[in-house]
Amino acid sequence: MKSTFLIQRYVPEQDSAPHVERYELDLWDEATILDGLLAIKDSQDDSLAFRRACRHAICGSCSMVVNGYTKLVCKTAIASEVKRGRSELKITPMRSMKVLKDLIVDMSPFWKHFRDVEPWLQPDPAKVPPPNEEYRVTPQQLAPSRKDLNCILCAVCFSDCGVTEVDSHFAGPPALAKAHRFVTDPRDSKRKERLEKLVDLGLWDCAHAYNCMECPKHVDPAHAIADLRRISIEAGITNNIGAKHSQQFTKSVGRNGRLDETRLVMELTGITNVTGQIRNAPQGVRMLLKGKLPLPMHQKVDNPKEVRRIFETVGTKDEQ
Amino acid sequence: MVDAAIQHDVLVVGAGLAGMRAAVAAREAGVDTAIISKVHPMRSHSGAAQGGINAAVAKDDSWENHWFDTVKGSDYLADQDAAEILTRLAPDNIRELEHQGCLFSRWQDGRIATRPFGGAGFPRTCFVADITGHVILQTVYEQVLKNGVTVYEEFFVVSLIVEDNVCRGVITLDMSTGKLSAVRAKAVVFATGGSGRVFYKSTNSLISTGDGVAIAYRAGAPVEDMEFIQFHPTTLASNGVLITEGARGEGAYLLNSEGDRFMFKYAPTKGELASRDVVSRAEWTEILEGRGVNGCVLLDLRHLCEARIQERLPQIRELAIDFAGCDPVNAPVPIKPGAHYTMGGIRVDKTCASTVQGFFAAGECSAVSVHGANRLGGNSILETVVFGKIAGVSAAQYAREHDYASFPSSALPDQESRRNALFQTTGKEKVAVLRDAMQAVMNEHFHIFRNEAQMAAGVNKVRQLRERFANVAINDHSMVFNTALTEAFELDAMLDLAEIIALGALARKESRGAHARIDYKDRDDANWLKHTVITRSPEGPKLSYAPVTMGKFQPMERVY
Ligand SMILES: Cc1cc2nc3c(=O)[nH]c(=O)nc-3n(C[C@H](O)[C@H](O)[C@H](O)COP(=O)(O)OP(=O)(O)OC[C@H]3O[C@@H](n4cnc5c(N)ncnc54)[C@H](O)[C@@H]3O)c2cc1C
Ligand code: SF4
Repeated sequence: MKSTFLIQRYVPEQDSAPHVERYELDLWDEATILDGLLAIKDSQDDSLAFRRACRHAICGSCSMVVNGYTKLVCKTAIASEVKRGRSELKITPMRSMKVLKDLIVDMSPFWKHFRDVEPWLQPDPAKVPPPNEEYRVTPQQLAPSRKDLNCILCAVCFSDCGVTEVDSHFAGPPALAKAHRFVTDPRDSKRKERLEKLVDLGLWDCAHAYNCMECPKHVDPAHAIADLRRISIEAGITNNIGAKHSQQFTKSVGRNGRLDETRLVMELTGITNVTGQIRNAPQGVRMLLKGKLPLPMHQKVDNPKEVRRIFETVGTKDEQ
Repeated sequence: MVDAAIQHDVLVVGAGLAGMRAAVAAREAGVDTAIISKVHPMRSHSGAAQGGINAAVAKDDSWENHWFDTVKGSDYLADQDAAEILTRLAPDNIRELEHQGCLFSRWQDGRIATRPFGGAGFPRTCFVADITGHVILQTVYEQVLKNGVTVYEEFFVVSLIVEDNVCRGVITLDMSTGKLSAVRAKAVVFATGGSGRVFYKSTNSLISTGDGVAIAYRAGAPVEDMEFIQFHPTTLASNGVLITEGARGEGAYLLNSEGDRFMFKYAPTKGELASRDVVSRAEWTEILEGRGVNGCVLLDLRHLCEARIQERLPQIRELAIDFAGCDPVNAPVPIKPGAHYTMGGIRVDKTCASTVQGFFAAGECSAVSVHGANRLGGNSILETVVFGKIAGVSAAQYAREHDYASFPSSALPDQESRRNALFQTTGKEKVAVLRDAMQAVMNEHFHIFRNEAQMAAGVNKVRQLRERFANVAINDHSMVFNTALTEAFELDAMLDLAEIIALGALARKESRGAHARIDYKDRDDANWLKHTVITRSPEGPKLSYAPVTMGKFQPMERVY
């Protein structure tokens, strides 16, 4: 099968800016994009630099952007891109991290976020079993973190996440999935401390773009983040803008069947917080003049009872 | 003497399971410890281990049975004292990992679950679904972070510095800058992994190029039993990717073109769960005798049903879909034997010490020797955790008792000229061409069934490739991430190992474990119950033999 790779090249000692080079390939039908890169390195240009190791989606080395989306290239067939209607494969390095050479990026910010969640078990020393015994953990207790364990730290989701791109403080999906793995571990004793720290690391900064749903290992970090938020509210960690927003949002929709944005902002600021309300006022007026602020009337949907019923049903489901 | 920019009491090379366990143990013993690895620790090949790790954790199992299975599996070439340490310490090591956080799969009552594996008399393989190595690697990396061990990531070790039989440190290449530098250490531990890439379509990572074994050999450390290469019975035909033995452990069948479960012909009791050497030979015999399917046999999981496959073998299912275009829930997977594991390695004693003072080795790059002529599935990552830790403790103790030794002034310039030679040569040879040729030679001449004439021809071909390597030129002269250069270093190492494997195999005139000869079909304990030891000499590789440490178990015929 014939294919064309357009690869972004950049050698810091030679190039002032990246440029694109074109390579023609003719490989077997099932060849992966990694097979393509290896073929180029072996028989066309040995200077092409990229990371790779296991070649079967367990080491997490070979993430890069292919036609706009970050992929683990050992797991992506060339044919699948062709099938998507891309006759050429445009390959560039991952986003949100500095390019060091060709397709190799500096992953140190990614690893820093990972370390920040203190990714190791912190048990209660008094409860550690003797050396000849294990902790008793049932399969059911293992279930919540099962998907988190699949994470190979490939950074595919980190590169595609809209928030990491604009906010270097946001821990990012894999670090949060890792945190979820410990928060849900019945052997860990630092659940509350972890959750409190996670608020500072950006637990509430995820903007639900769901780009991380394309995880090559089906980790589902978006779910891990949502679950961490739920657990943290349950644990009473609500004195932060994210949790308050979430609680008021739910309240508002429960009450009116739709979001009352004006009231949401007022309640988040604190109804009795006079200075805060005054500070917000000019912004409110500007928004009102531009037609961006709904008027305090007509806030309810036609039949708010229906919405309330949904809340009640979901509420009872949760308790089951 | 040169100044080393970096120095540490204990320097561990390799950040797989063995290396990180060693580093944490040395750090806990209170000495200054660092790890050097050519890839980020989580990219190490240990993460690929799928099926599990053996330990007699069940109440009605015993470590003595595990010990016996290991010695029998090794075709009596394992040192029985080393195998005893491995199996006796296994249960506590598993529980230590569990206490550190490893989420092993469980029975309903909350205890660590076990599954059957090949060559074992009891279901004693602990696992995390089919991502066991990956999850243990996470756990051990977590301990590295927790203990604040320094890690030099993407530093490529090019040589080990030994003078007067005392180890002094290493020379490394910082891959991100191209800078070669000397690193001094009181004790050095190699945990550089296997050499699977010497063969074609190996199950191993592209980085499993045996650098450490070759580097140690060049520095004067003897290597042991390298002719024993395990061919795993179930690898995908397209790219050599592994399908874990855990699949057969869960009950999968092996079928030939006639739909027969042929394994019972070769192993009347254990069938599909005989030892790996036995199963690979059986498959190959079926294929040679015309009962294969396009050069493969079939691994049938269909009767396990979707729910069980999804729970216990989800990764396997996905690999089969991605790389063989076949969903094991609906169709049998075509598989064949592929090069998988290096039983031999750097010769070390029970404390992981080599014959070079201050130089230790653990994991797949070493030969303690617990695997002898054939390793049992699930015993390898066990070896990395048990002996990784022992190596760390031994190295820490050595470092406490010794000072830094002086570093010969030629060590660094030698490596600089080696690199310059690859840059400046006008030669026309290409690394990739020679590598492919070497892999083809090794698969053709040192495969599952071997014979004198074929192996003798193979030795010559390997030597010709070594000569051609002198004319290798690489086009990339950049300093930053010059992966053409590191691939050339890797090939250089593999060519040494290919010769060592070839010579050891040619000399051993018997069949034992993974070394099966059609011209010497039987095991010959009278003449060959001994380790092959190969040492570098000015005239080339020098072969000698060393006794096997025997013990409780006398050699018997091996039937499964
Ligand atoms: C697909 C697969 C599945 C397996 N499944 C199982 C299983 O289920 N159970 C089992 O017991 N065993 C299994 N094995 C075997 C087992 O995984 C390995 O033997 C074991 O993980 C080796 O660990 P290690 O720490 O010795 O080396 P590795 O994990 O290979 O680590 C080697 C380290 O050395 C470093 N290194 C190498 N060369 C250099 C250099 N020149 N400079 C700097 N650093 C260097 C690398 O960066 C790496 O960090 C499997 C093997 C494969 C291939
Ligand atoms: S969550 Fe998925 S995409 Fe993100 S780093 Fe982990 S494995 Fe990669």
